[in-house]
Amino acid sequence: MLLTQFDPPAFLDDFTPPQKAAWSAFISQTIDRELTGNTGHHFYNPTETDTTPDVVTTDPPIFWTAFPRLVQVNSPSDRVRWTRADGSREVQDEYCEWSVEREPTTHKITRVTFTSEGPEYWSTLARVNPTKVLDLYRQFVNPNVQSTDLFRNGRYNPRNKWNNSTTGGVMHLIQPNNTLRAEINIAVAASIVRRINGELLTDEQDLINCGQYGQAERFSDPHIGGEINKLARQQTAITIANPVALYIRDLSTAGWVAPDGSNPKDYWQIVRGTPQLGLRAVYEVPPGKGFVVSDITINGNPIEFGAQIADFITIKIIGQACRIGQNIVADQTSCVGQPLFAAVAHPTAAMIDDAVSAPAIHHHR
Amino acid sequence: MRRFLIPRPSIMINRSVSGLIAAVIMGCTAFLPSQAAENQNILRFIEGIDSAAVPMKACDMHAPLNDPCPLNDPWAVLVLRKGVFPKDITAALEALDPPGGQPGYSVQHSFFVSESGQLPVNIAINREFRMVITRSKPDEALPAVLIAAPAGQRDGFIELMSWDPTKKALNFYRRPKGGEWTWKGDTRMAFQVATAGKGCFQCHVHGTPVMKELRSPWNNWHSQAASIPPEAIPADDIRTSPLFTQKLTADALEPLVKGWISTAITAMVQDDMKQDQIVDTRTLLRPLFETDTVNLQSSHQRSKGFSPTVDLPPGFFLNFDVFSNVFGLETLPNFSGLVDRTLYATAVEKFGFSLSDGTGFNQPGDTHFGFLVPVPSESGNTLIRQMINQQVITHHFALSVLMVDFTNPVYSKARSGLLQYVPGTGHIQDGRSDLAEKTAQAIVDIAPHTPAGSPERDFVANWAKDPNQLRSEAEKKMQAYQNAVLQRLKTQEGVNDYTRLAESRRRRFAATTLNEFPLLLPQTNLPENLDLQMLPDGSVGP
Repeated sequence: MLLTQFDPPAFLDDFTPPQKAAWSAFISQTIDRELTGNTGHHFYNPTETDTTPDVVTTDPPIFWTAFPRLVQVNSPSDRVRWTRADGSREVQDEYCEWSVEREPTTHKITRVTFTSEGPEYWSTLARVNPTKVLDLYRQFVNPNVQSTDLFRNGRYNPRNKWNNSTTGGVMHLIQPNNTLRAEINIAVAASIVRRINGELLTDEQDLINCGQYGQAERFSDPHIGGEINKLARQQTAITIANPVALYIRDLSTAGWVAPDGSNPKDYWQIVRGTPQLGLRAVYEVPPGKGFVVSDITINGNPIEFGAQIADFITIKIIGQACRIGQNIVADQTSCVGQPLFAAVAHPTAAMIDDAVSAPAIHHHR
Repeated sequence: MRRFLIPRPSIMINRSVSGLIAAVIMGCTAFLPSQAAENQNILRFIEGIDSAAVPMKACDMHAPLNDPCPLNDPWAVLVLRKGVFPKDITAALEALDPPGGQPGYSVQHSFFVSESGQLPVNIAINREFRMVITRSKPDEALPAVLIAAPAGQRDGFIELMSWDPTKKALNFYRRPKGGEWTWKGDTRMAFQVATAGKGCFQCHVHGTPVMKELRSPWNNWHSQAASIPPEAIPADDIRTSPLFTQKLTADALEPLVKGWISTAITAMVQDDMKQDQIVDTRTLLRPLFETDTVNLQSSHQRSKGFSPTVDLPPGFFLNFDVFSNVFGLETLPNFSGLVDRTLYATAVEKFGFSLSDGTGFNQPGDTHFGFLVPVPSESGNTLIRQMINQQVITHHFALSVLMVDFTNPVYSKARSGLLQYVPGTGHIQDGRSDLAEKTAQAIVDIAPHTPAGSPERDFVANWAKDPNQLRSEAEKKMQAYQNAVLQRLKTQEGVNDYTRLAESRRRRFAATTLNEFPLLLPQTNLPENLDLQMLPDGSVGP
């Protein structure tokens, strides 16, 4: 059966029906572009190729930690890595970005907002319905947002002052690697089974370096690639389940203690999307409880950084497979571009520090 | 929902014939005497207290209600005390399933670990896989039941921990293959002199779950950093089981283990501080002075990877968790253990690194993620934090101790020698104990009679300072040390020295009961009598 159209992320209702059709066309064209560029893939476009009755979705979904691995690798202690991750949206590159609000006098955290919404959705919405964009910013970020804050000469600025920092608010992803295009590129490219010199590649790092997709030093990209490739090795036809997006999977509050003994999970709320398809989440203690976020401890540590919460958040994509065992595609016996064991550029601690002090531009392959 | 067809590996690999020793997370190695299958009591066998297993008649399902049974965790209450004694892991999991429609411990997650799981799938080796299974209520963050078992033997060895909300401790249970369910003690017994370090507490030194490779990249675990691919598992029943196909990644287990460590240790210390005095003081304070247990931490990079640099784990150099997270000291912000990969690879080759299973398999090179070393344990650091938070000891006392030989975060001979001065009891008054002052005074009294440069004199020099002055000087010393290390990490000689030091520390760990599997640690050609320490100038010596 063919999928009629790709729905907006989390089945959001921001678009009119014609606009939803345009969004579907965008996703479809993005997939088709990747399919054309990748020989030997096991991926399919469900609006153009039937999904057969044996369809299954990945259970559990493909998920990873929201805290950026690159910051973790280059930081000697928890406090240093939390400080760095909270310092700039440029280092929040696991398809989850956040902004922290604090009491002005005590500096205690009162709210942390997390998003996994891709920039493409917002640029599309801004083109077709700028009024809606303004309404959403006022609803979710700050009621004082003005149109002139978001649009310059009629063009939407995704890095506007309400969405470009870790303290002034967050609406959607802006880190250059955090895009839906990247997600689709990785999924398609990773669906190629590779057998190099007779050896079947199964290791995440071997796959991402041979397939030249994504960024090898993140948690997300190698893991997404590894899980997609595992499906491909079972000779299945693979796609990303509709609606195509990156979702906030869950917050674990293992080891968290609220000062009044209440359940710390009570203060976590998906505010855009659904509990199963979360796009935007807020962690905040309601007024009147007598304490704020920073009064909650995690394994004995008070919450002093939004990044401490990011440690416990997972982001997911939902894979889908059908034609199980029947989607026969020849294994590829070479790698893309460079030979298998060529060195790959690795961001250094200095680059992380530079990213903290001044925005850096990273290009995904 | 349909399950995926899981492919058979293209090359058949011999099934492990090792007997599939129980998961390291529960890794006790002592075995019980065999019991008659018809014995339907919960047995108790706590090493240090019991000379043989004894039936717990107070916990029998027919026992009068006024007989106190010390087991009130979900495993005891819902299963064992109802006269249900599951014979295998399948029955154990079924026993925890709530009756239809009722709330209960229905949320199940599984995790897999294997020292051979990330070896190339096409090599011939006996592989064994272990699993950890958790059960929780839907609205609970921490699973009240944690189970460990070999993946390939459903009727094999089972170890289980369950949280007892009445006494606020984890109860430890074991069911050896063919044996009966036995209670092995609880968290508090890990600290009591009679039972500390015995039975289950040989491995679970602090009475909490043990996940050796606790932090990223979770070497040996199926994780978001490295998977255990289905092709690595020849046995259909393992590979096609939902426990494997629906397994989660180790990054999801880490917060659960840390959460139980924090919960159990916090409760244990709280309990101690409600009394008039603290007894068993040396087992309680031991992590401040000695390395009673460790975690294992590696580089985030594969030993045979593509990155131009390899990061050595920070915990190898300094106990950052305590100095930075507990004391809030400013360490060198740009410190990282990054070394040029060619320097690391040269050291690995020079010292003849290899992995061997002891039955003929030998692969040159380091562990999957390189530079696997013992680091200060999460449970030990948690205990230090709680002892400070709950005024068992003071901030200043703890820092005065930890700054002695601070360049050796584990296996410090100097610091361990100070444990002897901790008195046998500590008195509690107005919510604080006098252990810090009593221990400090004992060291102050003896120090003048010790040689120059002794650990006692070092401690006294720290203790005598104003707390803010000590903090300031500690920061300066640590930063000077870190700068020295950074310089050495740029040289082959420096990397070689740190590789030798890492091996020296691994050998100390290798002598403990946590070293259960031959593929866990690499072999090297370094001398047998390797015994090295890190010096404040970043050099390595005996």
